[in-house]
Amino acid sequence: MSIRVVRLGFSLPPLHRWISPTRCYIADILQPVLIDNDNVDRLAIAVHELLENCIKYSNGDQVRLEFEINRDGDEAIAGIRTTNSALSLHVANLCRRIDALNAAKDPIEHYDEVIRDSLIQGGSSLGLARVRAESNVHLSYQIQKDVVVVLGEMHVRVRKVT
Amino acid sequence: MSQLRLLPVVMEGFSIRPTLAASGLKIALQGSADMEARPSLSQFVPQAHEEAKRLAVTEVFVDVHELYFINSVCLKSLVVWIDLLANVEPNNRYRLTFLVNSHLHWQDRSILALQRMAPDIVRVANWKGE
Repeated sequence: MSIRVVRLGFSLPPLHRWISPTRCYIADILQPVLIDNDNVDRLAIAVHELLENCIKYSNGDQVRLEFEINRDGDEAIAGIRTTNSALSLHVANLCRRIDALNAAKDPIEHYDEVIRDSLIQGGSSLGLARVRAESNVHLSYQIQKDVVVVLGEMHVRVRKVT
Repeated sequence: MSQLRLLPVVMEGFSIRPTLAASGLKIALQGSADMEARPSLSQFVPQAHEEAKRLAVTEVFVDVHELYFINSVCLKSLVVWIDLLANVEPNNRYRLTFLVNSHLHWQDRSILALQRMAPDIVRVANWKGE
């Protein structure tokens, strides 16, 4: 039976100033929950990058971030879900990037390639590849009209409550 | 040795502090490098590169042991720095050494990604105090 260990939801205006406090808040909550501090760092980076993308490309007046950890026996999965509306051009670009990430044989090699390519293109464009390679978070997406949902999942180890 | 012509950047939650020592130019990044820090860091990087060339230092230390977070946009500024350095004539290049904090796990992964770009000019070392 799956047990929900953490569930957080935030509806935020698409303003950059909300990103770092949200990352710090989630990291603080995770410290006593996760066995490995390294996983706290990985998830903090993933939350930051996904929320930053969500806010950067939002064309609405609100974005949504949901974070949860569900445990089933010794297995636990952390899930990050961002929701925003965006221009079709940005939606297509996001889908292309996530498809490329998931098609890559080696996330680290793909990340290195994205880093090299970023020198030719403008902007950063490293965020999603970084989340996959450095945080080891698997990414997927759902699109409904102009609403984009990005999902990130990562296996974690959760402390047992005694 | 000439005087340093780089000014520190001090913001709420993020700072860049350049100093000149006998061992080379040292740039300490502290705090959280996020969207607020991006304009300052992206402006500072080419200045630091030009200053290192002007001073003809052999090594630039980027001390990140008190850098608690960096977003991908700020990481890109460091990518640009390495690219600037890689495009310098080999005989005139300095070495870029990142001084990392082994307790900050993300640094292993993020800084190693930078080192993989140019392993012959980028070095990663554990920060061992002043």
